[in-house]
Formats: sequence, structure tokens, C-alpha cells
Amino acid sequence: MSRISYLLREAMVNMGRNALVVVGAILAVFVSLTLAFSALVLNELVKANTLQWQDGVHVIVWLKDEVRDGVTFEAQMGLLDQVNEWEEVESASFVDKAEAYQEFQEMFASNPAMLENVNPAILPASIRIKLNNIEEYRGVQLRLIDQPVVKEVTSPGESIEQLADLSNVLNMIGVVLAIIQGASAVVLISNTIRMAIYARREEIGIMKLVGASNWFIRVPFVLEGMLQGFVGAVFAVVMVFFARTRLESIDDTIGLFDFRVADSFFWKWTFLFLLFGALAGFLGSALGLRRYLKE
Amino acid sequence: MIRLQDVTKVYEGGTVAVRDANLDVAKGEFVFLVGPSGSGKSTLIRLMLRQDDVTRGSIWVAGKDVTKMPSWKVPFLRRSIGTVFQDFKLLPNKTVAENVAFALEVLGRPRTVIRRQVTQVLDLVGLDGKADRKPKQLSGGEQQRVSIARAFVNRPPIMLADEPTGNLDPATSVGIMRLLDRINRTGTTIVMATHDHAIVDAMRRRVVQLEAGRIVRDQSSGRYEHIQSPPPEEQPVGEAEEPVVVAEVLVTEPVSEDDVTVPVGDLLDAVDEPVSDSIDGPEADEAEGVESDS
Repeated sequence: MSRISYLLREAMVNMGRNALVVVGAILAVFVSLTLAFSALVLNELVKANTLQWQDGVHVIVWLKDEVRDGVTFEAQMGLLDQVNEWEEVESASFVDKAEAYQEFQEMFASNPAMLENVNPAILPASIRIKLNNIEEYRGVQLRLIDQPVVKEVTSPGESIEQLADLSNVLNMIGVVLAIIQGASAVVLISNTIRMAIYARREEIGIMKLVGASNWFIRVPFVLEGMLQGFVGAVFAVVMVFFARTRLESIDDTIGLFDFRVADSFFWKWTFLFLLFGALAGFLGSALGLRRYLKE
Repeated sequence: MIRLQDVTKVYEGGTVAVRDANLDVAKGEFVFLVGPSGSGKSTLIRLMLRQDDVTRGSIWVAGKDVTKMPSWKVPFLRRSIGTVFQDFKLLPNKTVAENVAFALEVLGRPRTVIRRQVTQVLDLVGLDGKADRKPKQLSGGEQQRVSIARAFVNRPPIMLADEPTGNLDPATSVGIMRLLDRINRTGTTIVMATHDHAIVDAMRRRVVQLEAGRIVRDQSSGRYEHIQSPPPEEQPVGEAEEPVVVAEVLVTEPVSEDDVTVPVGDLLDAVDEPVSDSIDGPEADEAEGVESDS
């Protein structure tokens, strides 16, 4: 017990001595982890939003008409059954002409001229498909287009892809910056450890002489590094937490974009980022100890 | 207790600090390592502490081969060796008691044990009233007593001292030597490197003389200088030789004649007899009288 309090006290005293460098190291961890966490949240937002677009319908298959093309209802249902068995498909549902007309009426309720020119007979029946993974839309589209009962296949996939591309690029930049900043955080922490070792070189020499074990000499430095990383991570998490709260308060009645991130997602990553911070500190102090605390 | 076998140490750059040294120190012995600066005294001590690795040969300390010891075991080796240096190596921002306690804290001893042992050992070295001073507030002799207290607080079987009186005036040195002598009488093996003629001549203990890294003399109850017409030859390992009587007057008897009667037990709680730094009779006179080496 007295050992643990001794070790913690040592770590605290050390940090007090090199306050400025320590602040630098903590800020580096903070910036790095904030960037990484933000990238992650952005990614999650894009994913969540593209998935829920169009009520999660990823592919619409417009079917040929019974009257004009001679395609029977049985043939249409046959395709539906077939599609439902594909492994990319989460679910597929059939919307017949009457339902399509109803949908049309709702969609253009404010536009009577449109409604007048349309009757149930000209609106095609369709199969609405939800995919397990939106990225598979192209393959599904290709398989469907050759089916004799299919008139046309449409998918919001392309616009989703563009958005995904954009968010990928942003993510990449964020991650690269986070890695660079993370590396510099590790180096900075190793530097604070070096300063701490230098400040205590006499003491360390005496500790070695009186037979202090290596871990006993090292643990205060490792704790110090981990604490720095951890504090940086706490700041980063708090920062992202506030950003998240701010995003959620944005008026999303337009319904275009949902800025909410699931709690489970947020807390899982909060935990992981605190761990990353401590880990960065551990790496930094290990590096510092290896380079500057020779046997 | 300590055995060196064909020990050679070559530093990077080719300096040979120790050459084929053989030495056997029995339990409870007091051995002076003498010789001019650069003769290899300090290197031998560093090697015994495994602060340096030997180039060739082996060193046994307390039954263990130091040269083949994995580095994680070295701290345990050092716990069985108390060390005292010329520059005291005290931490300036800790008090006397804290400096001594540090040696035990590092070993994770419980607080109550630390307090008791620190009090005991400060009594022993005659610093019981100065536990709360900082090293700067003490004289050189007192600082060296603190460092001896720190070396001894853990009751190690072996004590290595590298020029412990090197920074002290002759009178103060005598006080330190009496203290080391007392510690030796508790059964602690002591090896002390020095080039203080007066002390060696007064104590009349085993003398191992080094010259350019070689052990050139190993003599029991020796004096610093081995005055003989032919140059000194190497002595057989571990065999104490009769002191060579030379044409020089023995100034006085060994320093601690009066201490001989003090039993070991009394020594550890010898509160009533603080060893002071004051000039202490004939030894001091002698110390000043014989002083001649640079």
C-alpha cells in the first residue's frame, strides 16, 4: 500500500517539475484523439444516414405489365420469391399497382394536375429490396436487369456511393492526421520521461545502488506517461461529447440528415479512446525508458 | 564472501583497468584496497557491484557468481552490499532520516519497520539528534555518517567503501574509520578503497595493493607502503602474509584498541557512545603525523 502511494506520489511530483512539456504532451494526445474520434463519428453519421434513406429501400425493381407486356402476376411473384432467397437481400416486398397509385397520390397530394393525368393502370408494380449491405447494390442491379419480368431497376446507390466516397476521403485525412499527431504525442511523452529521468538521475543512481528492482525504478515513469496519455484522452472525449451534444441539438425537421449517434457507439468508443490515450502514454514512456534509462 | 578469479577489465578504448586480479575475502574481514589513482581500486568495486561487466574472469559475492548473474537479479545482489562513496551520494532535498529511510522504502519495507530501523541506525552512527536536518546543514563527516547509516540500515553482510574519507580532514576521517570498524565488528565484511596512508597504517588490517590494474601485494595487518628494496611482487591469492617488519617506527597501536571489548550486541544500540568527529587522542596525532601522500 505504501508502495503504491509512493509510486503515485513520485509520478505526480515529476509532472509538476516539467509542467510545460507535460502540457505539450497532453495537448498532442488530445488533438490526435479528437481527430480520430471525430472521424469515427463522422463516418458513423454518414453510414447511418445513407442506410436509412428511402426507408432503407436500396433497390427498386419496376416490373413489366400484365396487360401490355403479358407478364403474369405469378411470374412477378416468382421473381419476388427468387429475390428473397439471395443472400445479399435482407428483405424484399411487392408493391402492386393499387399501392403504387396510393403512394403516388400521397407524394403529389399538393399537385392535383399530376394526379389527374395518372391512373392506377399506368403505374407499374414493383419489388422493393433492402440489402444487407448497401455496397452490394450494383451486383444485385445487374442480376435483376436480365430477368424477363423486369422493366427497369433503380437504386439510390450511386448518390450514396458519392457521399460515402466523400466521407471516406474526409476520414482518411482525419485518420492520417490523427496518426501523425499520435506519433508526435508518443515522442513528446517520451521526451517528458527523459526530462523526468534527467531530473532524478541522482536519485535513480542511489536507488540502483541500494538495490531497488528495475520495475520499482521504472513504474513511476510509466505511470507518469500513462497518466499524460489518459488525461489527453479525457479532454478529447469531452470535446467530442460536446460536439455530439451540439450536433444533436441541430434542428433536423428537414429530415435530410440525422445527426444522432447511438449511445452504445459513443460510449464504446469513449472507453476505447481512454484506453488508446493510456496506451500512447505507455508507449511514450517505454520509448523514453529504453532510450534514456540504461542499465 | 568475495572471491575474484583472474578478473580482467578492459574499458572501451583499450584501457586495462584491472589485470588478472585474484582475491579472496573471508567473512568478517576488513580489507583495504590501496594504490594510486587509476590503479583499479574503484573499478574493482564497480565490478563487485556489477555496475560494470568484467571482460574476463569471475567474481563471487556472497556465494553468487556476479559475472553470470542475469541483470534482473542484480538488485538483489546490491541489497546484500552496503556502499559508501567519497561524495556521500545523499539526496539534498531529503532529510537525514528520509535519506536513510529511502534505502528501505525502495525495498518496500513497512513504514513502522522503516521508522524503527532508521532510528536505530542513526543512533549507531551518532546522528540521533540530527534526523530532521538536511544534508547541507551537516558537516562532511556527518554527511558521511548518514551515507554509512544508509548503507548499513539494511544490515548487509558486505560493505564496499570507495574512498569514504577522501573528502574529509584527517581528524574527521578517524571518526569515520572508528564507525566502519564497529560495523566490521558486527561481522560485516568490509572492503575499502583508499589512498589515505595514515588510516591504513593506523588500522593495521589486511592490505591489498594495486598498481596499474594488478594486485601487487596482499598482506595481513599491513601498512600502506610496502617498504622493501626489491619492487613488490604478487602475493598468492587469499593467503595472508605476515606483516613485513620494516625499518620504521610503528607510531601507535591500532585505532580501536578500546573498541575491541565492545560486544556486537552493544554496538547496535550504542546510544551512549556517539562517535564524534572531534580529534580523538593519539590516532589523530598519528593521522596528521604520517600524512604524506598526495
